[in-house]
Amino acid sequence: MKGLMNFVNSLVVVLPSSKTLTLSWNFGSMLGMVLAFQILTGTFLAMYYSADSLLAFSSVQYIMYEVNFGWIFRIFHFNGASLFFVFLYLHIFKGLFFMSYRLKKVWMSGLTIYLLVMMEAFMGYVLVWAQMSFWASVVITSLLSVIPIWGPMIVTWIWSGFTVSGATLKFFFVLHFLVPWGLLVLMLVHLIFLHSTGSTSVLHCHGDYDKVCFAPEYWGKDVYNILVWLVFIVMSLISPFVLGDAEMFIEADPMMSPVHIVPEWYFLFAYAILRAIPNKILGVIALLMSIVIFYFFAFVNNYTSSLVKLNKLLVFSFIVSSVVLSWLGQCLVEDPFTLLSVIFSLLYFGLSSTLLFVFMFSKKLFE
Amino acid sequence: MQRAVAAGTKKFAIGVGIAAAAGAGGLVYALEKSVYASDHVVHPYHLPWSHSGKFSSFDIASVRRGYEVYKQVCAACHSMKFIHYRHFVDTIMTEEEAKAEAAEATINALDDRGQTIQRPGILTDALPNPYANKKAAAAANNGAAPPDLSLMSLARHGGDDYIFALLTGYFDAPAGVKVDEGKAYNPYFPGGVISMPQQLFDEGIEYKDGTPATQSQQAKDVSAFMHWCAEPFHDTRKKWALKIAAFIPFVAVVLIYGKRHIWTFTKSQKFAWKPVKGREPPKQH
Repeated sequence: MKGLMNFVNSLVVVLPSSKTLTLSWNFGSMLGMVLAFQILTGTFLAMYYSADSLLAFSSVQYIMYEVNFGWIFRIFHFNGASLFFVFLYLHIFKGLFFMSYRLKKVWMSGLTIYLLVMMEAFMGYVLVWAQMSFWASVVITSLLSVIPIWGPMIVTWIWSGFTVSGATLKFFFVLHFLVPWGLLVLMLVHLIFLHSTGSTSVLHCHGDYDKVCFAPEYWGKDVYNILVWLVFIVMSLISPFVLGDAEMFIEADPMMSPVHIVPEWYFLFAYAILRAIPNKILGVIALLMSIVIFYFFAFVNNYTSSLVKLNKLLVFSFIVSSVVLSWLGQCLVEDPFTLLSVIFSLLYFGLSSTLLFVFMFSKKLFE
Repeated sequence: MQRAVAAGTKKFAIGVGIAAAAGAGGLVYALEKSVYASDHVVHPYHLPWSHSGKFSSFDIASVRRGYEVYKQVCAACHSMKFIHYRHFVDTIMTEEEAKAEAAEATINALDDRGQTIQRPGILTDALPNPYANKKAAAAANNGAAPPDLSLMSLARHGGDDYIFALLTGYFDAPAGVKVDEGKAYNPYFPGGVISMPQQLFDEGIEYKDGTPATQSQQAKDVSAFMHWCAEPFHDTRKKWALKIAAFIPFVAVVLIYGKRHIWTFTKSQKFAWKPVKGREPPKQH
């Protein structure tokens, strides 16, 4: 018990922390809060949900209409997923801005959390068993068929049959319930990696001089998250369905697909990249690379110099291109959107690659 | 010189950043405002619903009238499987009124011997489904099963505006548009040809509260009712939003004061380098 207390103490109480951590360093703690919030609301929803293709949609509506305050838990849970992604993206962009990938283990574990959260959000989306989520599951699971040799077998295994069915829903439900606990462990690992060295600071000075204890200074700052969370609560209550699609209120019909399949907003950039390439295999590779490319940042070995302003300009341009790609992801598959998707996909990869090469260049420049 | 170059680079970077963001924003705005032939549908106009404000509640009198429209016009073909008569109690009706409404309905049920019977409804019954199943509904309606209306207000792009526009948007088909027997032309319906003929007409029903039942009045009321059915918790959620929003400034003051209090010492630290006698820095020549 004493050992555990010492561990917690070293992690969030006496941890030497830089004085220069701004509010941008709150994103991580906010993500921890949101994960806990999602697990809490999700566990409540799981008590009433039925992972059966004939009952799933009705059981979700049962939660909305019949369960005491069930609607509020569901509203918070599905909007909580959006809140998670808002802070996940802010967290990643902050990492790129301040070159936090110099902490290799932290960066790699963070990206793995990101991938798992994407998987988790997708599976949760499918559980509603509405038109859009059902057909999104058909589209996304089919992508795995491009894996050489084992692809079709993996797809059949995930489907637990020869099409997306009730068995697939059960598969997704079990995973959707279990993955958050894995995420919780991974988040702890992420935190241990981070706190073994301390955060990157705005000044890019990472030495152990002139630091303050994590508590109470950063507790006082992290508690600001409550304000953001309250604003989120108010917005979820005012416009709970604004981020969703109308097709999420129609029960899944395996015989009739929606005219226009669109994922949730947080997957739109990746969806636009997937659609930009007419070849399925190349499209899936590009989709995967849109995230995997960030793992390569762990190979950056340059602690002595950095072109900070150029880096910031590139990251800012990268954010703009990601936002435009997200908008393109919900547009119809027709000109000029198809052409723009290609241009902005190239920009996305061009900018993220340039971010990497800037380091090689700056290393040569200052050596 | 170095500082001047750095300042110039910063200004250039900010300029490029703003230009890129403005360019991308302008492109998105221009394309969003464009009209495409591929839309194939007339978008519904925006209406000033009394419940559409951030903190506005339903016009319950309108929702009640909307129920009358649903019962007398829509219920012949459309179900509302997620709505039970008990949902009306203390929301849009008194308990007695809801019980009376339920008793007017005929419910298919099983008796103690497992035989099919028909009985008057009670509060725990769902609003009756006009068809035994989806296939029976499709067979009775030229192959197009009338959709359930419980979530209709949320299940269509445009929501209440769409429902109102659709119910009041029946026109003669323009030249070149073929409308089959039993179907109707409605530009607000995707594709333009709808299986549901016009249902609402001036004075088509008579409201209990004496409100003139024009076509647009009925469309407005039934749209409000359908929205109420899609989220009966609508008023509660907005009331809670208002309460929590009012609470935020107080929390903000406490948290900001607390944080600033904790950081006072760190933020007001001053470092001074004092020369020690005998260890002064070398003088510049």
